[in-house]
Amino acid sequence: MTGMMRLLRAFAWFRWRILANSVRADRRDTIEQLSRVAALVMPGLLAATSVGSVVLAIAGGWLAGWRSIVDFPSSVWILTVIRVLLLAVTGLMALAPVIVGVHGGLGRQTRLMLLPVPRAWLHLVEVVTTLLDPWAIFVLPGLLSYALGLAVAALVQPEPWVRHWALDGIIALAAGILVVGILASLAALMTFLVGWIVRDRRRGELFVIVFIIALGCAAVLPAFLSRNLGRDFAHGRRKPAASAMAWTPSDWPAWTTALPSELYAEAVVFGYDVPEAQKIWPLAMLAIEGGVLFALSAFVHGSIGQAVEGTRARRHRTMTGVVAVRLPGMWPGTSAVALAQVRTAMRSVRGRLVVFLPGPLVAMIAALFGSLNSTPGFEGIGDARGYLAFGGGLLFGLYAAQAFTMNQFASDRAGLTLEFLAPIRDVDLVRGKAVGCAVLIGAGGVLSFACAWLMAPGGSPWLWMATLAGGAATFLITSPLTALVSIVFPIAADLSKTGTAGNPHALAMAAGSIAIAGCAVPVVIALSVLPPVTACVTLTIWALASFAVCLPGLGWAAKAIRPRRENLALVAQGR
Amino acid sequence: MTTTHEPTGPAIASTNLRKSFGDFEAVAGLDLSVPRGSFYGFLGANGAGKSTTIKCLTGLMRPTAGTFRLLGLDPIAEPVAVKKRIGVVPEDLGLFDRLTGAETLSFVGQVYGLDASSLRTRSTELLEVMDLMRSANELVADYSHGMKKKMALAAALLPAPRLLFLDEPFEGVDAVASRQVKELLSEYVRHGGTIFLTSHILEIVERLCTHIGVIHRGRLVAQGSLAELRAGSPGASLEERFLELIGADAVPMLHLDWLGG
Repeated sequence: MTGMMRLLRAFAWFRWRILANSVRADRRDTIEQLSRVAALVMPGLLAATSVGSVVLAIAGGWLAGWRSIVDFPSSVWILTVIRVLLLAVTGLMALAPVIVGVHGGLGRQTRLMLLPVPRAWLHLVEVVTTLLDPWAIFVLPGLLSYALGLAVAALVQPEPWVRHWALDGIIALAAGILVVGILASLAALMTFLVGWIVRDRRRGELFVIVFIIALGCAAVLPAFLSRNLGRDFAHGRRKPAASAMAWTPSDWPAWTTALPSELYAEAVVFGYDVPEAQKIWPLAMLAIEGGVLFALSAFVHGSIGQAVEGTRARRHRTMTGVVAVRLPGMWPGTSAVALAQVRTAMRSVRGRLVVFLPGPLVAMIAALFGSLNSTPGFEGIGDARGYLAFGGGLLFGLYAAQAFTMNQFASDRAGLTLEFLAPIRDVDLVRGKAVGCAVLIGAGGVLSFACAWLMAPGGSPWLWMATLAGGAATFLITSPLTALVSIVFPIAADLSKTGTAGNPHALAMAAGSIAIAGCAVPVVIALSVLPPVTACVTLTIWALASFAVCLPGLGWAAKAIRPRRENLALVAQGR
Repeated sequence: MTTTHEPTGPAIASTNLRKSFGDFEAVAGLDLSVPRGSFYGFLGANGAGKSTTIKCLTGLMRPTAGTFRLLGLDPIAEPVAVKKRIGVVPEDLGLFDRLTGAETLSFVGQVYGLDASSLRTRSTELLEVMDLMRSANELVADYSHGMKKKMALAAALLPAPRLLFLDEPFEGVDAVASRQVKELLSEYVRHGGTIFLTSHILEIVERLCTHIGVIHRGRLVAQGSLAELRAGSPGASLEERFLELIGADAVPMLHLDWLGG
């Protein structure tokens, strides 16, 4: 116990020193010091607000429990609200560690494993600290006070048969404690699992890519499903749930009855005809679920401890020889820079997402447009949905590639030093970067085209070509700007991260977003207003004109490198 | 790298080279003279200004003042021509993390304009010498620190430069690789190349270098051949002479008895 207290004290001191030292930077300017102070004060303000929220949650829970006894009919909707909240908290506690892991926020496992602290203690502390997540802090105290409210309200009632419901309050308290244990173990299990996955660079990057693509597709699903559901209701194939008392709609899968929120509701529901003996089964299930999740989390935690830095053996491949690949029609230096840009991008999470994310999204959007075809006012969309989805994919690719296009010189890290030491002119460096970005966005565009064509092959071929020309024009005309902004606002970025660590400078991103949107407007107008052939000719001319502007524009942007060279090299190295 | 009209003069010649960061002067008026064909060891304590000097000379930093020429050429006026003739292993090694070793050499070969056949032959030989053949198709990010050092050296040597800048090339390299690298560098100098090297390992510098420059707080406190440098303190080792030149006081020897307990 003394050891645990010493550990907690050490952690508290460590955290305080880190915060205090973060504002003790004498060489930083006033604005940055203010920004750091604000960053320090904000968590304090949040903590103060959280205390108020927790007090409110406890009071709300108590009142809900009390009201359930004194006004029995209201217990139905109160329990329904609790079920929904619990379901949401379960989802958040399971999903949050995944999102944090995807954004690269799980880097402390190595440090913790090196501490002279027994593994079992570390595991327990980590499980308990998951309950400090905001959603847990706001909901779980309310859950416990609800049970206490039930029990106390039942005890103080004059009617003896109502006092009997105090036992239900105690059962609710037990169920609440078990649910807290389940949620803590679940969050810990997910945290350790994601930590284990992302510990290996290749495995982690694959996980992030799959997760982001799945999440992207899932974002379109609600619109898709709501249309299908609406159609089902309209055709009388589906009826609304009979009453709020029905624990689970009859058409939900059977496994949903094993969710903690459902088991909790089964254990807590009380009334004239609900015997206490019936509640042993859901309580036992909650205990088993909690035990299994805790054991699993301990197992995964132990696995991380076995080999903190990954266990994958180094893969030796047969040397295939050094070959000089050159992009056709390009000077070797420009080609080499472009190829390096493409290769490094394609080996990063951000780069793979630029290529592989638009395709599935385009397919989903094309399918969604297809389902809109029968909706009054959208009849014409059936023919247009293919190239519209393709255009959407191109636009999405342009935005997704901002990590590269808007930060061309600071995401290569030491690679930029090699490029600066190489005997190539600045203009060739800028052109190479632009070609690299074009290849990257183009590869995503090809996949978008394939997906859109497969899902919705109709529409005028002229409009498909016009869409392609419009996308190319948007990239070309923004290229000099993206190069210039990358030179002026570089920021050290890790392209294996999907969070802010991989983003370009906020100003660069804002400038890029505005420029892309602004340049895409004439394309959208041309596609919407002009007849197919005219739109195609107009946008092809627009693309050629953009190319004519792009070449000298890149040369002009390259002139900005020389005075910024030293700064760019330092930023790329993360200094 | 063959040229028809190779300018003459020292490999490196600088006059009053300065680099300041605000009020701090990292390099305070260096007058370097590195003869062609020499193995020049540039010594200094941590923070003395060695890496900053290399960055200024190789174009990674813009000097605040002063002039300098590399292989008789002005790097400010003719940056591409100078870069074609020099190789650099910089402080950060200058490698793309997400290129493989083979792709790194391919990149360097192409930007230096090597033909496909020379690129293939030179790369294979360099990878063999550096014992990197089996790892050539792995990402540089997966290399150990020593492997990255060797890859950076291979990339610097690939275009056969006439002047090689090496910033701490032996730090983190194992004994076997260190021996290979030492032999390779000696061979390079025997063939007429010039090396400008910084290192903290004075035994290696003493064994390899023909000329020495000592920098202390941004100023050159000694420069000349190894024999000339030693002449100042006959019988002293390079380490003793170095400490004497930079005026390092003897560190008081504490007992730290508690360490044994």
